[in-house]
Amino acid sequence: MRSALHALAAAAAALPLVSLPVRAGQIEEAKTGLNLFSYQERDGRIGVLSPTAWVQAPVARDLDFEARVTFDSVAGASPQYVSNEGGPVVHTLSSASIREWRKEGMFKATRWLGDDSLSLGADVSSEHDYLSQTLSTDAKFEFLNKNVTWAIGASVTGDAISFTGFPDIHQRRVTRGVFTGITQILSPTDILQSNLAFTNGRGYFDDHYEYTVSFLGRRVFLDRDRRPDARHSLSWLTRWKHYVPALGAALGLDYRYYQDSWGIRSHMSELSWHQPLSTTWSARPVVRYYTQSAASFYSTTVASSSGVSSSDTRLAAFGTLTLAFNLSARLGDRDTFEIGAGRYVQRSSWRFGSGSPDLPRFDASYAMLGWTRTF
Amino acid sequence: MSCRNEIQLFSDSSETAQAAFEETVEEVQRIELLWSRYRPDSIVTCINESAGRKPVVVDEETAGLLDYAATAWRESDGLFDITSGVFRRAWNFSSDHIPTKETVNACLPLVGWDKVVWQRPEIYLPVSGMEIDFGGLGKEYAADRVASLLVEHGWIALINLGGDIVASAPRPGDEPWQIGIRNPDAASRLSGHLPLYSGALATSGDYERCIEVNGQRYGHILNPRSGWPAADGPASVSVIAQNCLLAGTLATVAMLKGVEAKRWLDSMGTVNHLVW
Repeated sequence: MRSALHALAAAAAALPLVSLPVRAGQIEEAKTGLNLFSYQERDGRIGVLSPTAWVQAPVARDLDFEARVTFDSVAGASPQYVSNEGGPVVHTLSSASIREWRKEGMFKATRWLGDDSLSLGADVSSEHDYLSQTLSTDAKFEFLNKNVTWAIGASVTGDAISFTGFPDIHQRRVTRGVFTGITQILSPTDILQSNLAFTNGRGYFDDHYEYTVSFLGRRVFLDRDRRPDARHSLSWLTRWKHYVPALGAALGLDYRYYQDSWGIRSHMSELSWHQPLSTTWSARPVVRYYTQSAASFYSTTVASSSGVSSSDTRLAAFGTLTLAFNLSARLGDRDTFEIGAGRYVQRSSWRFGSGSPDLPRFDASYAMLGWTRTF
Repeated sequence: MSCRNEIQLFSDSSETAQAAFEETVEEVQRIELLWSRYRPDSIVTCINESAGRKPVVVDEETAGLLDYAATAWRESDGLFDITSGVFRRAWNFSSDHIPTKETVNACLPLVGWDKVVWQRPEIYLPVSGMEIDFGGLGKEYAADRVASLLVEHGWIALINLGGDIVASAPRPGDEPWQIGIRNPDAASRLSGHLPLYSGALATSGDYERCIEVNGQRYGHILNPRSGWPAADGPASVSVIAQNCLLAGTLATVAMLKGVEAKRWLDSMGTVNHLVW
């Protein structure tokens, strides 16, 4: 059979055509990978170790499939109550160290209809006292010679919450979401994406392991975390990617605005720089600033009569700064290895405006290892 | 050319890049003028209009391509045949129905390179109504000519003439060009992704012109011996070779090999990608 190739090559060589050395990598159709993510809060608080395996592959000419499984191992102690027993308000960790596991599995199937696509996805996450199940769908349409992609989608999440120590009590929450987004190629070096998402959640939002202790003179008040039974949110994310030909690098600029019916308003800005260092190595430093206002019912002392109150620090007003650095190496034509580390620092005073008083400093660091193979 | 063409090249100045680009456009237009069967003054039109009447003397470049076509016919056991364009009279791929066997069979006496009298530099189509068509070679040849011009001038470039792709050299830093291979059913969805350092990639597929009847797909690449597309053949074949002409020929023949397509390409040691 090789003689046919040689005869054709010889006939082509008689023409005034260049004959180039054939040098190509493997044609890649599918990807699979393993990731290991580690997160550790300072002062012996929560630590998470999270391995993930994933795959993306075409299963038919007009059908793509992706799936992911994650196991989280959570260990340490979480803030459990807030007390002003000694005068100032103090966030106190639970006395017992916890160790929990979370399992998550997701899959998504995408059916292509010409240039447009329709996806269906499902996601299940389970812990010993928590089960979350999501169904989602989205559609993507191409316009203007594929320079514009319009996406719309919807999802519904059902959460079942139970209580350690109270086997007869079960609570539920349902969150519905919709989103729409436009991705526009502005020039050969610029892509702009803007997504708008709304969620509407109803049900049980309390953190039943958290409570607030207040000392007023000789009287002691104990209040369990109680939150509204509805949460509606709006999130608007805009991303700009700019390729810098002179450096072969890409600049990323993201901004996200978020607001919800609990009174939280947040702004997130992220700046990233993807710089190839050689044919093998590339680096990606990231800096992110985040600021949020407090939920209207956030309080570190027992609320009067409003009925809802929480001292959960995640509902406070604060600012955070994240610095991260990722290094990736492409070895051979098929394998990419990635190593990354980041530091997350939260301060009440870093909020744009003013933060919640009495909020403790909060630092965390994370690291990740990743391997991706194309085949 | 009625397709999207693109040339990417690395240059220190936009003026020299523009000059190189203009030279390539001139070359593509020259080839189109020479061989287009839609142009009344092209050599192909002249050969076809002389069918059954007289031989035509061709220029050196056309003779070279006819020699190549003769080799391709011989090495493919007659599956690659530049006389098979006659089947267009039976097949209308913009309609939703297939032709009758009688209509297709009526074309058969007008198809077959073995009927052609080719004695360099003269070609004679002995039956009135016979045609030759460089549709399966011309665009690939043009991509190779453009690559040749750019290589002569030392340019690092990627040429894409409607999906016929040539990488003249790796990108600076020995980086590959990242080539997306289109899916037969969805232009936006890539069925594969190829890091190409240098060489040519041609794709042959039935996705742009085909008729689907009762779930059976009839692609526009027809077997010259029967006038029908290969049953159970791939929907798309991509081949990488030292030039686009060779890659395109191998891809077209593989489309007609049916279920044997992959084995045939692998037996020659080619880098290939098939979608079924």
